Amino acid sequence: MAAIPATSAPPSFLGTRRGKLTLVLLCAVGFIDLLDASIVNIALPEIRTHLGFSVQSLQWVASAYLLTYGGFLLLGGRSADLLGRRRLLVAGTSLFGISSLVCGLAGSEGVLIGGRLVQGVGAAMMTPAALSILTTSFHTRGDRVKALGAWGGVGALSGAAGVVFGGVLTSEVSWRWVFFVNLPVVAVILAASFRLVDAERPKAPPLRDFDTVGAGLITSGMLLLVYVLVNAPSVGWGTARTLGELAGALALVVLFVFNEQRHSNPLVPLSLFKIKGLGAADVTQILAMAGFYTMFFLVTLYMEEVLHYSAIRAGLCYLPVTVGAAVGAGVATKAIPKIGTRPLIALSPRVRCWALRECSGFPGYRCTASPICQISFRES
Amino acid sequence: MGAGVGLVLVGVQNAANGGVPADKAGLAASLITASFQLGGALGLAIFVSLATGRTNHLLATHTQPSEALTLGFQRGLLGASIALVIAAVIALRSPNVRVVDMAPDADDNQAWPVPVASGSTREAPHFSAG
Repeated sequence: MAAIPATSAPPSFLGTRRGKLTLVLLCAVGFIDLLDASIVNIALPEIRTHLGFSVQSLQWVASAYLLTYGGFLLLGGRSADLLGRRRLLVAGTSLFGISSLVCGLAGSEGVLIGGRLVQGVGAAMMTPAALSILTTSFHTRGDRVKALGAWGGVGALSGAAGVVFGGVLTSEVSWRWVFFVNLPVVAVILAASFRLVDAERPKAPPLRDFDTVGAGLITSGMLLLVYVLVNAPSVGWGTARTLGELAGALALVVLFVFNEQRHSNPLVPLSLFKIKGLGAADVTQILAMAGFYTMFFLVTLYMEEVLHYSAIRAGLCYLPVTVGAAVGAGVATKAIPKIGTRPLIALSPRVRCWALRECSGFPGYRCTASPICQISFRES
Repeated sequence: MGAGVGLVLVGVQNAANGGVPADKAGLAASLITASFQLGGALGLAIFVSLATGRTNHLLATHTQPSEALTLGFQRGLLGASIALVIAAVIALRSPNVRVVDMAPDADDNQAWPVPVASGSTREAPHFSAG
């Protein structure tokens, strides 16, 4: 990356050792939160035999995390702005660590799923706190693009990395280590947060006029929405239950928007969506993730159910995807300062679409759509 | 495929956080993360239903189990590709964001930088007090 002209530019925080360490810390937070969504998937069959789960509740080991993570995000993000970002980061990380320990030690269905629910709440506090520390600490243009590039790249890596780690840990040690592996990371994050991130005192008196109604509405709306989405495939889309719950979630969100328009200090000031590109980026993200997650899930199932790959082998098949993600993120970080975000965001679904079309033909071993994978596994 | 994911995540993160004032950074961060989560849940719910529907239909008509599974997965992946095409179309129609400097923790809303957009400038970002 070309050096930032030294003449009038403000000093680059990323250029300092402390800046680099801060970026590593924040990316580690994002990585572990996203990793925990995918790392359990490959361990599910073993958890089922160990704890005697029913298939129905087994699904909730994965989904409970997504439910509270998605449900509490907006509250977590706004709290970070109002109460202090480092405070939220530390609180969320501690919660995440304790619940990881509980999950790892769990001897029953209820404890494990309960632990996953709390883990999700912790992650919902950590992720927005870390990402907003990132966007506010790296405030020169060059720094921000690079820092956000690292963050996005780590996000792209985490899904595939979760499958790889999950496969290796489950096969080589035990499913419990899928959770225990968080503990040393949490300890390092906590120690580093106090050293690297300044505690800031929020300026406004935040809680006097807090939008409790809005927080309640959007949190329950998001919780219900994710719950419906998780259940719909097994309950059926056309059933009265699914439709009723969907309508309920929608009603809560509409009430929320209505409430935000009236409230003097709303949880989500709707003027935020006037910022150029923000709304479109969020919608693009929803659709892109809808495509990507599905592909991930179905291809993993295909490897395990049709090709009868072991957990570790299915996990290793994702290594090329992680390499690709890193390369893509690197290219994007270099290109954004020159051409802006739109060309890249528009191009990349096409790259993936092409890859998906290649795999949807499913000719035997070509399932992973990665040449490296084909070569390494055709021999075995 | 991995390369595509890397490109889109970095691009979207920049677009979603690039022009946000410091006092709303946490909110913007949670919005983009929520979109990530919601998209995943939404995609799984819809496209996995598509896949299972097709597989069950084929199993009912006495197709071989492995083939029925494969064809079901194929249907699900096709749906996923369509979602990606729509994502690309929306991205093409959205404003192009170039990330700008941010005043470190500006506490007055007036002082925050306006993102330099290469497209139209019809909507100057503006924060009302209420």
